[in-house]
Amino acid sequence: MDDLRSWLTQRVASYLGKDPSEISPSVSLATYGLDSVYAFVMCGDIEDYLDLPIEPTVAWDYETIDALADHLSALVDQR
Amino acid sequence: MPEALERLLGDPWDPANPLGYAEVVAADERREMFAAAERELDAYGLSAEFVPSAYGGRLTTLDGLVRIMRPVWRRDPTLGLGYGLSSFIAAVNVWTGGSPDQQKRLAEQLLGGGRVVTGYHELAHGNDFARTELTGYGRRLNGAKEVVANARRAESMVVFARTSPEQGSRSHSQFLLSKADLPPDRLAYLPRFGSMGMRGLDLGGIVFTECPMPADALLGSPGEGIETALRSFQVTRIALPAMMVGILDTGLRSVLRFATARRLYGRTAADIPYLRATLAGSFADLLLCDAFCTVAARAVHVLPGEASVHASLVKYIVSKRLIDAMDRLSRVLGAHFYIRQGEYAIFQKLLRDVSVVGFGHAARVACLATVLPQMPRLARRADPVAEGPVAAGAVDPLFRLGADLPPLDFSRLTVTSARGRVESLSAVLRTVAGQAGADPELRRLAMVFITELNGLEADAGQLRPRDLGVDASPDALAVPARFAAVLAAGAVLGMWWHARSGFLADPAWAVAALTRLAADLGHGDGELSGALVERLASELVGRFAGARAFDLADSPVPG
Repeated sequence: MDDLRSWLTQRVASYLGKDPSEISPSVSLATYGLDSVYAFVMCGDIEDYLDLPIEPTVAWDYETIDALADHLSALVDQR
Repeated sequence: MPEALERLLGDPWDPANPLGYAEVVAADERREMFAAAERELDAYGLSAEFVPSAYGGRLTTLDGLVRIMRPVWRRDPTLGLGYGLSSFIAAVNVWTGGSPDQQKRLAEQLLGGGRVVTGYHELAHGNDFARTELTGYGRRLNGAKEVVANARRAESMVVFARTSPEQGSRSHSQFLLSKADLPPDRLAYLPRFGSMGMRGLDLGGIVFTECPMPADALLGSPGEGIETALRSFQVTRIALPAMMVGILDTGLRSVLRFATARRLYGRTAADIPYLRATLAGSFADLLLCDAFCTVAARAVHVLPGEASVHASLVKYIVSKRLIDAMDRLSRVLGAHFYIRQGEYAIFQKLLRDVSVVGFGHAARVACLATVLPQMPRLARRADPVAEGPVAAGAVDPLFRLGADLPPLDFSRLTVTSARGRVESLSAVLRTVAGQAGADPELRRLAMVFITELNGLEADAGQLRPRDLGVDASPDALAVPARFAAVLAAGAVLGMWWHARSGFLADPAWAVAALTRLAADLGHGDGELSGALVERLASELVGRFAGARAFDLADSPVPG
């Protein structure tokens, strides 16, 4: 779970060209300017990383890194 | 059946036909819809074609719908859009995101001859419809959609509105509204904009002021507006350009009539080599457009997970081909493309109307922008060395006109291509290139596209996330544009490969189509060899003389 959170934080930081320390896992991704384009890119990265099919709209429904990490861990546990 | 509609509308060139081109042009000059034809289409019950058979309509396949609508677009694009397509674009949102009750309600309206319109876009925000300013807070609509086809005469509307002030993609919803359920004083209309083409269309704006909505108006769940719209686009971005292929049929037929009737330098104009080359090239363009549209439309049934990529790239490729082909044909008509009266006056109307395909419903660059974020995944998932038929049997129905298809299941459309797999069309390139028996020129051209695909996968892998959004460079946008040409080539080769007999089984048309597409990738100038020009021109002239359509179906037309 913490691994997943820090991996997501790194991905988001890399999309934005920022340092991971500048990204808060409890702030909505839209606040950082991550729009629907990034949401699709992130879905692809998540699918590859977890080797798990996810809904392409997952980053629309779970708007912070914390919420996404919770949701994805639950999916991984169900596998 | 398309033939039934053609028979109903009669010979368009007959000046005595009240549904012919003379009257089409006259209605356009009066800036009116073509009323006589609308009455015939009402009697035919054309709107039933937009309603799935589960709700009592006649919609079973997207490919079938396109072929039924092509005679209408072949006759009068304003009729195609104003009678038909605008209702279909709106209705697909309801078939995709509506409740069974809403679907039943809309089906009843359409089957009764009603019209439904949609408003996604606002003038200030172009294709960036997430910036929409029309709001639907607290079940009240406030705001305007300025450019809506059939704004005044439609009985129902699908309205796209902001329903949450939050950023993100869950802040919009769509509502299905019957005008009869709204207080008339909360709804107003804006005057029509003057337009270059589609001059008879009932084009106008709708303004809502504190307009209350019934409790059952919301389509799907709150916040599903963008998702439903993006899923619906996968059907409608194919349907619009696919139907508009009918315009190029009439464009070609106008030039053929002109060229066979006119004698220059002691022979008919149709014998002049330059004119034959122009006709053959435009015919090749029509065939490649139809191949890509047909395969994409059939793929919505077979591989709905790939539809997001197919639909946007069909819109991108076919729109430009149609506009460019009509433009080239205008030059061989000389002064006659410019004259708004007489036998060939239909051409100048079509030339103005066809422009809509480039921006209507979605701009070409917006289509590339839809696919661009998916390109890195496509590159990662595709295996450049994968050989042989990837589930070849499963994709065969894509390429066989008239083959049975699984039902059109709107619920299986997704906002992006599932798992990043869009392999059905690229796989066929590899299959054909590996066939020793295939025409050598066709194999050479297939290799051009395979090499392009391999390079493309490498280039797509280099794209960084920040290259993929609205700040994308022309170089980045070239990646999905090149991919579009590769997929179109795959569609052409697949159709040829699966054809058993007749013209479609002849490699000539496929070589011609691939020659045209290769030029998009910087390979050659797209000009056809003398032998290809003769093969295509003689097929075209034969179909013209025999009153048959110029598309893949080659069906009878009344002229």
